[in-house]
Amino acid sequence: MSATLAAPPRVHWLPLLVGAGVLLAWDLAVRWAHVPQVLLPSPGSVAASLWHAAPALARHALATGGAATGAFLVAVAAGMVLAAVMMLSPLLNRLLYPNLLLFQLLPKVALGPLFVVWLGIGLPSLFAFAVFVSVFPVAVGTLAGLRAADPNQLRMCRAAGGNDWQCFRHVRLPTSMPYVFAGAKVAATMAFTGATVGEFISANAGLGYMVMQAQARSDTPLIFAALAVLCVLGAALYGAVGLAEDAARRRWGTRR
Amino acid sequence: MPEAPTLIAEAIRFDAVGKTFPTRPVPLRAVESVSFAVRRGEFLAILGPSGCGKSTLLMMAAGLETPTEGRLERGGVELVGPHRQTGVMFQDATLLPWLSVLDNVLFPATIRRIPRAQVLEAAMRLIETVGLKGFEGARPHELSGGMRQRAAICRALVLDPDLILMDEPFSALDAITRDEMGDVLLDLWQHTQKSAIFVTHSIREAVLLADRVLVMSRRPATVAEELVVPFPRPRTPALADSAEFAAVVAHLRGVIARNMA
Repeated sequence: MSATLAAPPRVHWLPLLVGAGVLLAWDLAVRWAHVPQVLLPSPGSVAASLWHAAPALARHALATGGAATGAFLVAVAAGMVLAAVMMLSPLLNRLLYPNLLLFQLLPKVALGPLFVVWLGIGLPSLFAFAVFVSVFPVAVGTLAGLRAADPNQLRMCRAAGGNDWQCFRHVRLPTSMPYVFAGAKVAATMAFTGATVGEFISANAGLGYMVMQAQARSDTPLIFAALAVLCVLGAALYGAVGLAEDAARRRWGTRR
Repeated sequence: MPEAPTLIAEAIRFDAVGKTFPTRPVPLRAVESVSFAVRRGEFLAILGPSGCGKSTLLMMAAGLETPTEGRLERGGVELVGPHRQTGVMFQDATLLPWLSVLDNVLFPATIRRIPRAQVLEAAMRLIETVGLKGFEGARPHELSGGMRQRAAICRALVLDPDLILMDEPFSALDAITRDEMGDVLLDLWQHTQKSAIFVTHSIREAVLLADRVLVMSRRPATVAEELVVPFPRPRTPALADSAEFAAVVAHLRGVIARNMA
């Protein structure tokens, strides 16, 4: 029985093989076609840039990673609270939910400059922007999960004497967990998008800022190096959410 | 909640209870002026066709629906909501899939904020009685349908209620498991002095388990006929094979057929 809980054994080397193949093709193409370094640097020169700029990259990675992770955590908490409030208050739900859906449709990244107008250049506007772009998937996902609770289980809870809050806490909330994690995974990606775009337009630190600086100096290998670090950071946060979900699933046995 | 005075001989009383659901365009009349009482220690079966409103009756007894007319008394006091001394079983086991069997059984204690240690022994005893010993830590999806409904029985009984309400609790099970569950319930109930209302559309179940059977009319539900089951207790599943049993079942089948005509 427990075997059905475990994921099928994953083959790691196949996708890695494709990645290595692409790197090799990239390297050969750059060599044979004599592509200028500023257009497309070879993987080797990107690696060299990673090595040489390592201290600066680490410093800026810490800024971006910190901002994105912090914004992600705030967005998950705020999104869950927002969803809970909409679940518990029909009035607030009617007031907020259509607007929330409308915001989902907006190209939220386009609103970045507004945050600079309101909060100035620097961490506050960047952080607020990253929270803003990542809160929606959590709120919408959590609300869908809270609403997915089994009416029969809710009735059982009420028959046992449960009040609104207890039935929320003991039936709706556990039901919503897979939905919350699905929303959080999207939010993890969005938080890095928000932080990086925020750094493009309003920062003096971070990998986004570093990319803009490198672009101004036509240091294309450094752009690639910064992007590579960004990818690793984004994957790390996404992976952490996945690990948290696995732990929650083992602890509470929630299954989709 | 105050302890029910022991002088009251009735666990629950329906007094001209009616229920209309405000559906559109036409309000749905589910229950029409139903009056009956369940004595302490009595097992009452409510027999009727699907959709006749008998489940609505039971939901009112559970305090999950309020009557639109009439009055419901529980131990001499007007019933206004779910009662602490009432255990409820539904058509499905409605176990919470993220809790172990034991935590599901203890769920009413969690809701009533009763310390776990206080009911743990009773829970383990019930789990053993229904044959789920060794499955305390299992999750509901690891159990068969019959085992899940056994866990639901334990959950309904864990706070030692004096009234158990069962809404076609075995209707989702296959015929063999269903008979087996009837036997488990018969055995369990005969060792207690609890009152019970058992809603079913199985004549066999009603006659085997109950002291008295109410046959409901078609919707809106009214009591069409009342039958005192003439078999002494303790009963065994073998009773169902006797000619007398078959005669009572045939009689009830006739009553139901007359009411459906």
